[in-house]
Amino acid sequence: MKVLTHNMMACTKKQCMGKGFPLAVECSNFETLNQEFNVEFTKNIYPKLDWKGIMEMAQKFNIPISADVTTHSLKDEKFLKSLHHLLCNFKVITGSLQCPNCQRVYPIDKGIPNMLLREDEIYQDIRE
Amino acid sequence: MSNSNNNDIDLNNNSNNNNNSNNSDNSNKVENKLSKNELKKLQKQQYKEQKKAEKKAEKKANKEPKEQPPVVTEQNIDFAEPKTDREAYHIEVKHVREIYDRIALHFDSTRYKAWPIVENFLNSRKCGSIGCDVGCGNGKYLGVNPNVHLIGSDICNNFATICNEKHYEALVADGLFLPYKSDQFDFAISIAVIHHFSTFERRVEALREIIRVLKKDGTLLITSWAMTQKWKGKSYENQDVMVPWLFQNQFNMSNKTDEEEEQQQQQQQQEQQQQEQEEKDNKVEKSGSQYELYHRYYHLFEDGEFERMVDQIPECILEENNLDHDNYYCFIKKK
Repeated sequence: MKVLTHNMMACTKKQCMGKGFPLAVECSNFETLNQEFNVEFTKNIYPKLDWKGIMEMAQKFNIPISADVTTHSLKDEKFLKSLHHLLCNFKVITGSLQCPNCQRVYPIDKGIPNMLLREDEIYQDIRE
Repeated sequence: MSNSNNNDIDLNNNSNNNNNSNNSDNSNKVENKLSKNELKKLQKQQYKEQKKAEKKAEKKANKEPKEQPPVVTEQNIDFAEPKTDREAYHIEVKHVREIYDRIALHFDSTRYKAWPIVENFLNSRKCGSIGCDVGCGNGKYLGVNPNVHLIGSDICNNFATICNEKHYEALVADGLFLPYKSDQFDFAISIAVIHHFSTFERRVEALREIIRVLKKDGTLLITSWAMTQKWKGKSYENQDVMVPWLFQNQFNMSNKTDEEEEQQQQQQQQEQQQQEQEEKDNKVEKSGSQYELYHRYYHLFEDGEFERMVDQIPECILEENNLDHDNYYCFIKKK
């Protein structure tokens, strides 16, 4: 799970709709990748990002990105490079994701988050 | 060729069956006893090499199949129509999810050609677009356009594993419960997936769930098998059918072990052994190679069916619905 993927994710429970993100990441093992910097890609991705999630991950992986959105400039290549590096080059291999609303924990194993609900969780949701 | 995702049996017949001489001894039980790291690494390596060789051989085999596997055909469903959503869920677990988890590696070896309609759609996305592939299978569309961020999800763990090994972004999720925020994807694809849901309501819910995660004006390309099979030159009598998959034992996922997986594997193997016991009746042997016959549940779409589904969802509009090689493909836009 790359940081950019995490930024799109939310809890799968219907009761958490609109409240189940950003998922809190616990990371015991990660990989760094070497995806080449792409200016246009990063500029186009920027407006779609959830900034709260980005800041949590920037802190976790020690990437210098200012939390103050007003200081960000899409003309600032250094900023774009840092952002791209964070989004595309850090991959959580082992750990977990926790919903900030219902506290449900989803495991991440071998780089793959398992977001499946158990049968009893699904049918509780539907009855409600 | 664009028939790669709808022509299971033909591809199956064409694929190479002669290459399993060196792993016919690697049955689960033997491997279980000899669970030493070195052996496993060796097996893993052997397996990778073998898989490469098979892909090559498969192309040749299109011209001269040396050993034809037994002939298998579609069957009618052997279970009652689900009365509740939970019954439908159970049907899909048993007749779709568990089957794909079992045949995932074999499936992967037959699915490498992208369907041009999907390929063109992906390649025409703007650089920096974000998309999701719902029911991504072996991930054959995840790497088509490197300038977009495409996240694959599948309910089958083994498919997610295969995608991850190809260095694609993949996660395990139920199509009815996508693990994404609402209104954010620029585009989505769901290729030959929705026909695996076993009631109209669940198919509508699956569609509604993809529409939920799309942003306004985002486009979904969704496809399903059609009841009319003019291109293949055959016809189905019922909309709900069991489509066979002739599994070659050389593609057993349990050959792919590593240390971390050991515990999980052992558990799985216990379950598998139970399952195998039950499935012994299904085993077909021919000329020294061993096959297992599986059936997957399909609901074949008829004319107007996608329209009826879209009618249930006021948030979206059906922009195009066409047939290509016995598949319906629809472009659906979120309003």
